[in-house]
Amino acid sequence: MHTFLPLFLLGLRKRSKDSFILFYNILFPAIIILLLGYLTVKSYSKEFTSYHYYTLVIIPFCALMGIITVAYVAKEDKLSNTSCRLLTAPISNAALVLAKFLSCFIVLALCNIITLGLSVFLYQLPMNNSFVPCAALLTMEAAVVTGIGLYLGYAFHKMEALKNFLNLPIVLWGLFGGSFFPIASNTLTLTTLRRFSPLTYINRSIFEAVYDNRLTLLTFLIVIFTLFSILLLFLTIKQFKKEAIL
Amino acid sequence: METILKVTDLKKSYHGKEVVSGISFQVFKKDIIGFIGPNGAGKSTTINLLTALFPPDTGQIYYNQEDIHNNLKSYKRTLGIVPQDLAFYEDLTAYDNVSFFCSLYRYRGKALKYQVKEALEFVGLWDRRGDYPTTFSGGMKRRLNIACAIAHSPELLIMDEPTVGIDPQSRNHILETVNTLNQRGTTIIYISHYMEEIETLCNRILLMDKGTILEDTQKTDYKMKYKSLGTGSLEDIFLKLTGTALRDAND
Repeated sequence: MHTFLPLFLLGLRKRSKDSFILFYNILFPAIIILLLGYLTVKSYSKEFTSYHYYTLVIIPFCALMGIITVAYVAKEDKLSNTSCRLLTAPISNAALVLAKFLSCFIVLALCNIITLGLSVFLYQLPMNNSFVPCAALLTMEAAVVTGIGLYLGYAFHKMEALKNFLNLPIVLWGLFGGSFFPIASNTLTLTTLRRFSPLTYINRSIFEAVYDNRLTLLTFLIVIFTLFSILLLFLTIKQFKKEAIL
Repeated sequence: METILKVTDLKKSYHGKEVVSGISFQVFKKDIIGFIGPNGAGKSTTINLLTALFPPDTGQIYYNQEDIHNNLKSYKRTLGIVPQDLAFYEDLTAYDNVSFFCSLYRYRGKALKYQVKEALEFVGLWDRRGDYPTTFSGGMKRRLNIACAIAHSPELLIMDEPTVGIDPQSRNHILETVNTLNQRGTTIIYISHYMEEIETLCNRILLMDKGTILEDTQKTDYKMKYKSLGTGSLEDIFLKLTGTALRDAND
């Protein structure tokens, strides 16, 4: 606890001032929603506009891209040469990893909620009392994203290799999850491919919550994400090696 | 003389190559040890073992008669390191950098503020405490590097080439700082390739090459011993003992 608090507070301070995080988790999704919404405005109705659609699908997609951002956070001490000070200080691996996890999680979750709130306000999206459940889902998605990003960030030595490793699956998940345009499951192949995208389930749960007032899938996903993020945090702490940041 | 650090038969290998080959030495209280050796001698690996960055393959390191691996956190609280690379956050002010690193050693509140002020005043950066390192000269960055290491008042300070790439004025200031630290009771292990610094500062010489300790002696004895080589210069003695062939390996 003695060393966790200064590490956590420093992490929180750095994340909240990180222009990269703020851009890719607030400004970038806002721009994409505006752009795609504008380009496809005639394909939707007045009650259910393109802006409504893209608000609900782009935010989870951009949240998922946070994996790469968090992986860079895992490497920041190596990049700033401060890792030797941290590793020679009386700090446990658990304090080091937990501080990074919580600081990233809190800031990413806040970014997601802010983006959702702004979009709901700007585009008059009728959330029908589902804002809080959707915000909770995006919060736990931030937890999973942080867990995956930290785990991979410490596991991979080279950031370029990690980026190349992650970019394609994330884009494919976005594609088959309907983040760029609605995907109809016309063929068996498409149906199967959609099943492998976590965004399929996230987007479906959000739409069910907003338009059908059904929270079953959403609640299930919140529980799964919570458990998965705790597992990832535990694994990251257990498998943390000093060489990862030296 | 009180022994504060005792290294016994330390060995470390990387990828099948023995980098540290069963070295033993002692560090006495208030020593300033000049830890010298060519590139690839094993100095950095030895320092990594002393700072418990990596465990040795065999051998023991005792601090105040206790194996450091029995209570690592307690040992690390007494240790300070000035790394060769500048190690602070560019996006934090000088004050915030020193405060953060000092807080990792359980300092809080008024005690923390006091330690930070003392450290920054000691290195002559108190007036620039609110500025970011990006606005600092090379010498000022080196001094901030030192401040981050001494803020928690370590008993044993390891300084890895703290004057690399700075002007003579800044170097002189740093050497005076090291002397003052030592007079206040800090034991220092000083690594440098500048023999004139070793000549000025250190009372003991620890010469390492190819994983072994070639010399572990008082500076005056070291110079007397090799007087027969026809020179009293540390650099000439160093070159005589380690050879003049180029060393391109990393430590």
